[in-house]
Amino acid sequence: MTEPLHVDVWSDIACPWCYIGKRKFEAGLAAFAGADDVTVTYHSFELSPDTPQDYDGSVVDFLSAHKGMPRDQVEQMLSQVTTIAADVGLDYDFAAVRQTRTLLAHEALHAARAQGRQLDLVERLFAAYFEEGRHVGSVDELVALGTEAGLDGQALRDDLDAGTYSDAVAQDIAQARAYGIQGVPFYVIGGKYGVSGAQRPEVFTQALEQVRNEAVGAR
Amino acid sequence: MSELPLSPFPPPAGLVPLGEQDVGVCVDGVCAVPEPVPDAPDPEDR
Repeated sequence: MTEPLHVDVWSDIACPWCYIGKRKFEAGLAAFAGADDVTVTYHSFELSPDTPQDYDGSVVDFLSAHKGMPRDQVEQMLSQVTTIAADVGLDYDFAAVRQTRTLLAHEALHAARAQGRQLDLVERLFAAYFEEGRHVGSVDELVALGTEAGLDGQALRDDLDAGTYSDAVAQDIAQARAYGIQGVPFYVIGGKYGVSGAQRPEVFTQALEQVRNEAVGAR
Repeated sequence: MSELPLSPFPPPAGLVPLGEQDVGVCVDGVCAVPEPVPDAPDPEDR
């Protein structure tokens, strides 16, 4: 029997490169001969914890006001990212994005993991945020999206109301800091190799093969 | 198949870095687009 190979992904729902990276990683994983033995866990990383839960402005407003970027530079950056997202089949709509703090969304992802539905919810939340303009900082929206992703909605609501996974989110962020992770997406493959950014699918395939070959060679 | 080259970016503590530098990463809320790598000059143009 083949040993399982684990991939840990640090990511944020409000990170456009993370959704693009998800597609590229999935393509790389699909090309890996041992894909059936790979398990993937998403971990919390708050890219912009200074974001209000309810922010009335646009992404351009937020980045120019909070990060000090000139508006035309932000618009150019978002346009370029939208084009790159389209190349991997994603339909980003930054004009519709509801900028929000993602702490609750991270708690929801931990709740989804406990329910065995984390990857379903990761995909649902990314699409909701970048393509559909949904408010992923709202408990009601997270419960609705969680239900669409196959979770027990009432259990999810109870966990969000109680803060059941707030410590787990904090532990993920602390682990990221311990690894020295400063940006996302970040992939830890086999607990040994660190891959930073939305790399080409071939990079992920080769990294997975390298870990697998080392495991075979060590037997 | 050859092994992946080690990346030149600083290794996160305890991890061996793989992959290329300056790909799509979001840091502190800013998600810069990497500069395109210029094509290598065609040897026939030299």
